[in-house]
Order: sequence, then C-alpha cells, then structure tokens
Amino acid sequence: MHLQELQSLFQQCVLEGRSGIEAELTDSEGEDFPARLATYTDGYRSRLLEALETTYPGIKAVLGEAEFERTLRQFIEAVPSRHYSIRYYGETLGDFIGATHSKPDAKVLQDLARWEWVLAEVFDAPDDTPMGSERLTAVAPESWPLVAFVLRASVRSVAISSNAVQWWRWAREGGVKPTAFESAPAASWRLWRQGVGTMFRSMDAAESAALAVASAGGTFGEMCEAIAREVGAADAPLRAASILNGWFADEVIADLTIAPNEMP
Amino acid sequence: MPENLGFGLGLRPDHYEAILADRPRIDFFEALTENYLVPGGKPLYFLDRIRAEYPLVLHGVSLSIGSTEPLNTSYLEALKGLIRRVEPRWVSDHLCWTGVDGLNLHDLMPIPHTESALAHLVARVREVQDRIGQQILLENVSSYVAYRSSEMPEWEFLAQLAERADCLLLLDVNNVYVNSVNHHFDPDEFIRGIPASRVAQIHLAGHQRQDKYIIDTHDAPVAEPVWALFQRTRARIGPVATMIERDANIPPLEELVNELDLARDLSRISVAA
Repeated sequence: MHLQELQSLFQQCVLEGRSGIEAELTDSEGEDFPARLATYTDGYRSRLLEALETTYPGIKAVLGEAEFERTLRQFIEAVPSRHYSIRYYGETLGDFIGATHSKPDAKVLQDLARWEWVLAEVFDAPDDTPMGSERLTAVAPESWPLVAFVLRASVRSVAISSNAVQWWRWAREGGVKPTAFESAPAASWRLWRQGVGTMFRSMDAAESAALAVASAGGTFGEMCEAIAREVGAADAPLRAASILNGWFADEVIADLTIAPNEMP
Repeated sequence: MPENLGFGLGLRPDHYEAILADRPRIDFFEALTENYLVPGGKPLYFLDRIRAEYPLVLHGVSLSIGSTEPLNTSYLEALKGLIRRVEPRWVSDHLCWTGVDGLNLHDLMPIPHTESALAHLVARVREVQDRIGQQILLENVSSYVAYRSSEMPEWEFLAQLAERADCLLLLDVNNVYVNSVNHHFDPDEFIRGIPASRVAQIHLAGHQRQDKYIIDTHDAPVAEPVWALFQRTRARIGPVATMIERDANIPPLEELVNELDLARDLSRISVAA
C-alpha cells in the first residue's frame, strides 16, 4: 500500500473510527491491540480536550466538568484541527455552543467563549512599544483633526451582551455564583496587554465608538464625530480628551500619523 | 557534529520564574518550538531571557517530516523566524507524520520502515535542511502499533535515513526501551545499530507500564530499565548532550535538577555496552 493511502487510512481511523488500518498493522488479532490503537484514537481527543481546557477555563467552570467534557467531545468530533499548532484549535467553540445549547445560557456561554478566545489572542499578540503622550506636544493645533492614532497590536474590542464577564470572574475568583444567566445591557470591553500582563476595561458607548474609529485607521476628527454622536457635540471635546488620556495611561497607543491635507 | 552541551531540561512555563530567580545548575534548555511560534507576549518574553542565561535548543512536534502532504511552508517560515530570534544551538523534531489532507492529529504517528518511505523522507529532510540552512536532528518516536509492510528494523531505518539525508539523530532512550517492549526486540541491538557519530542529543523521560505494553507519557521520573539502557548507550556513543523531558505531573524544578544529577552520576560510571 502506498504511504499516502496508508496515512489516510490511519487518519480516518483516528478521526472517524473507520476500520481498514488494522489489516496493515501487525498483531492486530492480539489481545491488547484495541488498547494500543486507542492510544492514538483516544490520545487525539485527550490532547484537543486539554488544549480547549487551557483556552476555556471559564467555560469549564460554568458548565461543570462532566458537561464541559460532553460538549467538548461533541465539538472535537465536529471540528478537526487544521493548524500545526494546537494553540489555535477551538476558535469556533462559542458558535458551536451557541448552536447546541438552549437559551438563555447559550448566550452567556457564547459570549464567555469569545471573551476567553480574545484573552488568548491578547496574551501572545505581537510585542510593540507604547507611545508616550509627550509626542502630542509636537502636533500643531491645525493638524489635530488629521491625527490618526495607531493602536498597539494587542488591543481588542469585544461586545458582550450578557453577564458572561461576571461568570468569568466567578470562575477565576470564586465568591458568590451568579444565580442566573441574566441578560445584561450590552457592554463593550477593551482588552490589551501592558508588558506581559493581559488587561481589560469596560468601555462606555463613546469610548467604544472612538476605539472602532481608531482600529479602522480613522482620524482624531472622525473619532470626535463618533464621540459627538454618543454624548452630543457640546460634551464631545472634553470626552475625547478624557478617552485619549485613558489610552495613554493604559499604554494602548503605539504611534500616530498625520494624514496629509486633502486638496480643496 | 554539534557540541556536547552537557545535561539539560525541557523548558516548561511552570519553571520560568524559578529558572530566572534561582539560576539552577542546568547546562542547557530545550524549548518546545511550537510554544514559541506565537507573535509575542509572555512565552517569547521568558524565552528571550532564559536564552540569555543558558544555551538553548529547539525541539518541534509539527514538522511532520514523514507526511505525504507537501512540507508546510508557513511552519518552516515561522521556524526560521524563531531560529533567527533565539539562535538555537540546534533544531530537532520527530521521525513521524502528524496529519494529511490538511488536518492535524497533533500526535507522533509512526512511519513504516520501508525503502519507499525512506526515499520519501530523505528528500524531505534534505529540503528542510536546505530551507533552514542547517542540519536537523530527528528523534525516534514511541509507537504502539507496527506496520506489516516494514522491511527493516527501526534502528536500520534511522541509521540509513541519517546517512542518506545527512541529518543528525536525537536518540530518545526511553522511546527505544518503550518500543523494545511494545515490539519485542532487544533494545541493545537498537543502540548498537545506531551510528554513534550521528547522535547529537539524548532524551530521557518517564513512561507508564500497561499490562503488556508501555505508553510514553513523560509524566513520571525516568524508569530504572531506561537508566540502565542510558548507561549502556553512553558507553557505546560517548558523551553527548542529554536531557530529561517532563510534560505532565510537572514537579518543582529542584526535583528535576536532582533527577538530572542522577543522569550526570550515571554517565560517570562506565558500563559495557
């Protein structure tokens, strides 16, 4: 049998439990052959389960060990691993749980899975250097509307429309267990890294809108317009300054660029 | 042939802080390549710092050198980037395949010991070595099944591969022992069949004995028969970089440092191969 065919057959045995590889292996009639083969078939599932446990400790705490394992085993059967690094397995777990669990807990679990996946992304996002606010002094007043703030590579924004973060905190810190999967007002969270520490902070609508503009490469002028839509034109300048101060304090800005003036 | 780095340990996140705080008597660290093929953050932060204090080698699990899929060029590019960053003394991976059809089993799947598999591997090893600009070390893996189509013993397969592909070997003594039980051969015949001049590193690890076979688990201290085989291996191939792997039930660093001292002590005792 050609090597390619042999490997496909073995892989089908591991992934789908299909028979056929046995005929290619020695001692396949042996008493311990099923257990030996299970070292590969069970080992595959154990490794993926372990990887998902590392990424999703909050989901495990909320579901409980037995339900977590049952759900994840279903996920593993449905979703094979395609990346060479097991670190990147399981991004779609939240969607899978959302589709397989009933409301209202499905929403919390979906949000929680998204939250934990993004935390993992932030954890090993590219390293870069925060920009100090002193560089703002070099910006001419007339250039301010054209300034675009470049966010650091670890910065993420996550919209959560349940009390998933409350559940996540409970999973980590213990204390009073949230009593129900209550819906909560939709909230946006900013996640980022300072040094090697993963940080997060809730954002109001104005900051969330400003971060969306900055993430898309928009200018400070466009940020102010987005903020004004949330807080009104009168309060927008002060709110914009406060948001920027917070970003510098949290070291979320990597750089700034000044767009050239458009020709009239 | 790479230098003899002495006695090392597998670098595990559990020990990052202790290594930097205590600077234990470890001659080198072996880092798991894939743990550091990430854009940034804590893993690379610690790798950079530990690499500044200790010699470092890289040990991968995803090269899939035996797969019939084309070599994963994005993996090789990422590996090259990591090599540039940490300048390891050498790079190793496993003589296995990890998946086909675009999927990954995240396991060290065995290869049939056939002439055609050997030809396939020789070409791929040469291509990898060309791409990364250096010789690689390939490790013999533990296996629980064997192919009817195999045409030669594992040691002959390894020896021929090393010679024909001009690569080096990472001789895992625990895996030799595990396979000798699982596939009923004399482990000393394996050791005698390996070209000593190609062995650049030795692995030691713990395993779990089942009724009639052994699972390579890396979750326990090195077993007594493996220590004995290690002594005979050292007598046959001479001083070579040796390290202990522990991937589960990871004890405090001090415990592994003490186990490493046992490897040092046993290496000084001459035993007939």
